[in-house]
Amino acid sequence: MDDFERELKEDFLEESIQLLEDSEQAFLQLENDKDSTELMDQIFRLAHNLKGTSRAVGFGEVAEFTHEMENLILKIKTGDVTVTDSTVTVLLECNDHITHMINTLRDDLDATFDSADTVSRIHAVLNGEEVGEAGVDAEIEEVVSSSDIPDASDFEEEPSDEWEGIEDSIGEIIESSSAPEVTQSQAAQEQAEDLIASSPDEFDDGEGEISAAALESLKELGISDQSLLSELEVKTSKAPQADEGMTIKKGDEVIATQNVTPIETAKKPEAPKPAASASAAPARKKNEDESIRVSLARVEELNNAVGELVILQTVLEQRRNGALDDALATKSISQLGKLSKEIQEISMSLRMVPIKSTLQKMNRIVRDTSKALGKKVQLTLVGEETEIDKTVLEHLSDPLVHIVRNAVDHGLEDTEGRVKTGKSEVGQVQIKAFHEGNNLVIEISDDGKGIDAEIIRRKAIEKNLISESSNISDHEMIQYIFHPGFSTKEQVTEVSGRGVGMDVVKTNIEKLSGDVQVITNIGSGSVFRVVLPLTMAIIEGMVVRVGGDKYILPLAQVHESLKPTNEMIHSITGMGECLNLRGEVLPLFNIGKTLNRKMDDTISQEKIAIIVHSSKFHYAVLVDDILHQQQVVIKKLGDEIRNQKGFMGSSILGDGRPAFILDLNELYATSMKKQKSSVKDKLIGKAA
Amino acid sequence: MADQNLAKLEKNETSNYELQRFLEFSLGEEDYAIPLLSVREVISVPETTPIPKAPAHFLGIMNLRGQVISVVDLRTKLKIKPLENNSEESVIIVDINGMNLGIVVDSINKVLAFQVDEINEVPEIESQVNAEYIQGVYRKEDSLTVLLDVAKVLDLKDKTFVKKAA
Repeated sequence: MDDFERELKEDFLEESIQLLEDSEQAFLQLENDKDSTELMDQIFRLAHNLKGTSRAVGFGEVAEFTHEMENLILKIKTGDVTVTDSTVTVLLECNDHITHMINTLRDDLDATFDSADTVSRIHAVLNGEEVGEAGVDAEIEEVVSSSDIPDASDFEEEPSDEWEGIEDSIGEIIESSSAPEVTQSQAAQEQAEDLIASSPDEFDDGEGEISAAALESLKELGISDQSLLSELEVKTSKAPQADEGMTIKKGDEVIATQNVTPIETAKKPEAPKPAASASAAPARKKNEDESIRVSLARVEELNNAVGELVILQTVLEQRRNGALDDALATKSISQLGKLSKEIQEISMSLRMVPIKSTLQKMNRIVRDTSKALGKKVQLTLVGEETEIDKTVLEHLSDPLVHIVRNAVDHGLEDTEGRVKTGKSEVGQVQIKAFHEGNNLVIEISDDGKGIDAEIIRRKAIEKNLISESSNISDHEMIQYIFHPGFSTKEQVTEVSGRGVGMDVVKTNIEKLSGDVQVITNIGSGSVFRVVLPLTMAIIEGMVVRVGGDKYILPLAQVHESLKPTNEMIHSITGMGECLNLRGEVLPLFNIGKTLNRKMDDTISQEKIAIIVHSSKFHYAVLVDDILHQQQVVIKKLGDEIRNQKGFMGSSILGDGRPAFILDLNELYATSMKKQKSSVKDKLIGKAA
Repeated sequence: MADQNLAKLEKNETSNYELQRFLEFSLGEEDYAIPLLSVREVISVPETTPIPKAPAHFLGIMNLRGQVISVVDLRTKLKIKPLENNSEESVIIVDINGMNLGIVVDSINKVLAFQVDEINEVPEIESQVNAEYIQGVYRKEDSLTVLLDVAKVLDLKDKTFVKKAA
């Protein structure tokens, strides 16, 4: 495979992710709006696009499978197959299967797949069989029993875990059974029919758009005639606006073929409102997307350069008073300051993307979770356009999924319970994203039963987290759901309680320098409030001095700082120093010792104590001095030192020298484990 | 090991007769060289910020026009005594699989150009502790230049998977 072909394939894989996200959303919408022709058109285009492009870049198996899916969609479109929940389930399964293929291909371009299972489900729907979750199981079992394969029960649950192994056997079964399954040759035949359908006279109108030279170079690139032809067919006969192929004519031949995909998809993310039943064509014009795709690396380069500009500007600013006696120059320097700040803001904003795609994923989570639990849930999304740094967004998905799942599983009562308390049958879950100052806030609220502080208190006592007599307010008590290994659910359900608890959510969000809070009202529901910094590229930092070195502490980790007095510091043999802060005894760490760097002297009383509150426990860290606070641009560390624990990254200070940004929680993570039982709990126990 | 590296060198080029270019520098009294293509630039020794808890040969991190780069002293790593009163000390910024790293050397000598078959394989010596990082030796008249694999000297594993994860 030459580089160009590889590049084509990789581009396709990148772009198809977007296509798949769009189609998943479309399928979910279809469930609520079963008669929308517009939606159907959109779904058909997406599937067709996926088929055509995957074939063109040489992913035969993806193309074959999407062809099957397209058949189903076509039948739905023509009304031969009615849209039911189970049809949507099958469509979603198809989507999952393609996503699985794409993700596997991303790691290994030569991966092969067995789609027989999912294909058989498509056929079942096409044959008019009612394919619910159960129906499918029964069908598979039938096939299985007829060919004497043991472990039929394995198929009863979602096969995802044992997918790999089972796929093979199912493939064999299906091929050996006489069911009307599509075999390779049949698929090939259909493919051939496709080609015949797109015989020259039919794509005459498309032909004009594509220069002979482009065709020639396509061939040179090893794209076979077949795949090319079917690709052209996509452009000409099916796509309503063939002039989207225009780029092919002007652009750089083959790259242009690729360009067709983003152009088409770019118009689709704007999901049509169910009410707007205007014809599809004008709607697509209206949503003309004037954005371009830029690699994150390039944006990062720009940010680096701008960061350096800002630093130089600061140096200039600091020096101008002493060095210059020129009013105009002085003025220009401060003008430059404004300008460079502005440029920095713009360059930072390039990394910002709408939170939409992540929020939309929750549609699927809610659908699957509520179906599994037999609850009726309606999800409302507010503020999908709210923007956030792409790097933050990437880490946001998992914690959100967990909170949303919890809201459906733990938060909402079952249908009976709801009716009993006089609520409507359908539970409401709302996800709302908005900006608040320099933060992004995501609120996940449900109108369920709320969290009972008493139950948590009992659990906490049971688990020896608190003593029976400790006096903790209900509000504080509720925060204990973030404790490791804490579950309020008596029984582990299918959906949650698989060992990943809210503590992981909290840790993940804290890693992003964010915070989670819970507000709950018994009987009327809970709100999980996730607060995140807008960007990970800039943080508020506190510059401290340790001996001759400067270090940056993220301000988010600093709870308070103080100069300890003699009375506050206690030395306990075998445990080191402790700080008695208003009755709370905190372990006191000497940062110089931790980092193996020299500090001014050894007298703790001469230093500054930084008080840190982590989710696990509170502690104090001694530094020589606090210099100032400033916004710092985080620079990643090279791979050669990335595995050093305790460094969040580095930044360049006003003097042009780099300094490390410490992650105190990580730096003291091991000390915390040791101290946790010995100091905190014993002290709390004694106090109680 | 050494022949594998040699084989790799040869594979990189279509013909053995194509010229290979190396940048030659000194560490102490000895001459070493690295492929010229991996050299990004040569700068004077910058101010560095020490890296806590890092091995001794990590001199620190430096600011290269906004990019933070680690600086490594190859002499410390290879246990070579640096020259005294040396004004020619420089830092070579190298690109190892897309990762930039500064290496401190005693002086920059010249660019060597030779054909692959002029490279001598490293004689296998039993007592040699770890010669994996030596790609070969280039001999011109009386002088010997050791061709270094910087990534191996510093024990840098293939980091591509790290990047993927990050």
